[in-house]
Amino acid sequence: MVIAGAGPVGMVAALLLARCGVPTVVLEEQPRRIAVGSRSICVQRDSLDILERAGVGAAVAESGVTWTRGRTYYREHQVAEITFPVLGDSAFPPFVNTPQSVVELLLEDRIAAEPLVEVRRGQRVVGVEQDADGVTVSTSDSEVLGSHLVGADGGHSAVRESLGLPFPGTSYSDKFLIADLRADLGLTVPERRFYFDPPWNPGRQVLLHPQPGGVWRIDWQVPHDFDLDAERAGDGLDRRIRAVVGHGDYEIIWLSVYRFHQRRVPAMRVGRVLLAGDAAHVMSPFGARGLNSGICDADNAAWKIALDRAGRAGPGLLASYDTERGAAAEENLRVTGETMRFLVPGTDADRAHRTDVLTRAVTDEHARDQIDSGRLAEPHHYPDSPLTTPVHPGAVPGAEPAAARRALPGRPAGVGHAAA
Amino acid sequence: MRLRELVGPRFAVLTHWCPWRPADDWERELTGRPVPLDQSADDTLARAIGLAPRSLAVVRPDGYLAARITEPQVPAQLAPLVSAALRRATGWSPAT
Repeated sequence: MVIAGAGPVGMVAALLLARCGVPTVVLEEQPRRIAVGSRSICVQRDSLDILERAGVGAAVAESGVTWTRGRTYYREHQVAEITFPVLGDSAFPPFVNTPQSVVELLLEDRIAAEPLVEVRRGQRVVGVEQDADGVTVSTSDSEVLGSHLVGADGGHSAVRESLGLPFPGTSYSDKFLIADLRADLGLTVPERRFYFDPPWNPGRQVLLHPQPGGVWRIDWQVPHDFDLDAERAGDGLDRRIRAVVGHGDYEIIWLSVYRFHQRRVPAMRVGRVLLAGDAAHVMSPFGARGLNSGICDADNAAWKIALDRAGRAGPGLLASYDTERGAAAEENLRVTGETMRFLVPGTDADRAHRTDVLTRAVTDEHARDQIDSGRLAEPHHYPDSPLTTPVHPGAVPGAEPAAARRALPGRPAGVGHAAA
Repeated sequence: MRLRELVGPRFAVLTHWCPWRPADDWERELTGRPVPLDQSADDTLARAIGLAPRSLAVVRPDGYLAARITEPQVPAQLAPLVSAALRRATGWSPAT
């Protein structure tokens, strides 16, 4: 069993496969890990559940911080405030903010203690061939044979390219400057702030997220011709940061500039090759659906591959990976696409809608519900999956008609399954 | 009594035989959704996934509810019911 990519998605897949007793070889192009920068910072509860099965969920949760108050501003007005005073009694919080680099290091430590996982670094995938018996993965200096291949090698996936799959979608022209800053903002509770059209970044937005250790992640939307080097050479970057953190001391830990893309591969499975994470879909980060959905991909792929290898899978089990995770990717792209239409309107109508909502939100609380600064995902549902047994009469031997079920003593009358 | 056992590789089959009156929303269609694995008690788990008395559920290795089978009339019917649900969920059945 081969995995291309030793990022978080590939490592989770490897650890979950090891849990099923499946040995893996993980091929990673980078000769060593570059564990810098927050990148994807929000890990949701369902991802923590999966990470726990991979052996690191509790450690990831403990490493992070959960913000309990979110404020949204339009120009100089606060237009919304949400609080999460109760975190519930579940094992994990609803989400934690922690740098992706921390998640990667925890996974890497876990893999180092897992004898069924072998990571080979400095191995760029250059070709993939497969037949009925297995997969041959060619790298720059070797060939690796395996029963299956998970392509978790990122947005520029060499596996996807080797399969000849297109990666259709859109890219946004505006860039985002992201920074990890250590600073004391004087807040009493961990707080997320979203600024629409602030006077100090006119016409665009700024997002502020807490991270552990007094570090803040700040995302500035900037024009397509933004030049970080020029900004650093003058006092532009300091002025930009001062507008957020005030006059106190700050320390820049990491800076990067990136563009958003909304793309997905038309098929997440080709034979014995399954694409996962950014190799299969990329989306804007608002809503934290990128890494979280990649972890779900890995989870979905691992047990199906394990059963397929063991000869305990029907012919449709691997195919269901694309059915289920493709639908999840589609939904994530739809939701993040709606968010991006609000954040970066591309038409006059979208711009007018955004201005109307934000202007009304200053005084109208009902308009605040229409502000779209990103929607966290729930785990995707698979009611239409071929693996899901329909819940209607006759679907399962011995199942009784809904009418009979409703007639049983103690059962509320007239209530039945939607599909009945 | 409640019985939770493993059938095959990590397939949890949760049976729920106690005369427990489910929550009002027990009829919600939850099959195909992830089961809240952080609920440790079987009774709480059964309630969370809307499992009716004298019924059983097949939970996939990734925590998704593959089948919720209601009201088998006698325990002897459990085996074919579980077999059918597992066959659908994986193409594999412990009965074959």
